[in-house]
Amino acid sequence: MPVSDEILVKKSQKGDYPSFEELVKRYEKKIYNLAYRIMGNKEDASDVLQETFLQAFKKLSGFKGKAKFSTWLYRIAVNICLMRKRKGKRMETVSLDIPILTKKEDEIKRELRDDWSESPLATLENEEIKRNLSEAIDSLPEEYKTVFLLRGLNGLSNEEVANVMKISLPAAKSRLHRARLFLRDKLSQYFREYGSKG
Amino acid sequence: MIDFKKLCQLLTDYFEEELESDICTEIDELVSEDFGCKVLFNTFNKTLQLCKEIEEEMEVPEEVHIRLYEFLKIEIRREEEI
Repeated sequence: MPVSDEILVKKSQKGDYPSFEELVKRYEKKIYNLAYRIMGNKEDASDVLQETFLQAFKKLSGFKGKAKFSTWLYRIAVNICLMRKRKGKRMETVSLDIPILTKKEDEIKRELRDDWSESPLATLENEEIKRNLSEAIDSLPEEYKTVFLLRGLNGLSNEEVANVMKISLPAAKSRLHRARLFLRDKLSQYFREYGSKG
Repeated sequence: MIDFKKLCQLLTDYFEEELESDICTEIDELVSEDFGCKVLFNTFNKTLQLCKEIEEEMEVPEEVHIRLYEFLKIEIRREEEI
């Protein structure tokens, strides 16, 4: 049976480096993937990975175990990503005023004429769909993108996402929902445009 | 009474199975009766599926992994010396 994070943390706090190394081993892939998706390139993801574990090591003595170690670690990683983003060139993001929630019902229903969910093109084997979806995720404002990635990529529960982001549970759920509606809208746009081409 | 706008707000909760069963039944009925609602429901569900597939994790490149461990060893030794 694998040793729990809790025990590894306690041993690490007493200066047992192999235990800390085991924690690194457990989470490096998760943190790297999260950083890569937030930062958008491998170089920054690699820097964030190093910085996250260094900060974790430095702050470990102050970790009281009130939250799960993973939640605490994700929070460190997310903070580093967002700080680097703020320091760097401001990314262009789009508004998340989802038309579907603001337009009149009739107006939306006119846009919902076609059900593309059964289209043979609605698969990630279709490189255009894959690219469209990836670009749409990248264009989400940071606070929405981070919630979306933590929930999906890292498999955190809504409660854990709220803890990492230091926001309320309803706020986390709302951001996730708006992000998903936005992505659906982007895919619908693609299919409308594709249909008009054909 | 659930209408189109309310459906828009409840979709994530529906697919994450966080709604009461009577609300789910209302949604199912609405979706089966109203074409616009059905399209929204189906395309939202498909979006969730595509998102799940695209979230596949990649491996940490070997050089990044090696650099991380070397970096940590050096930095931690430095920390301990202070």
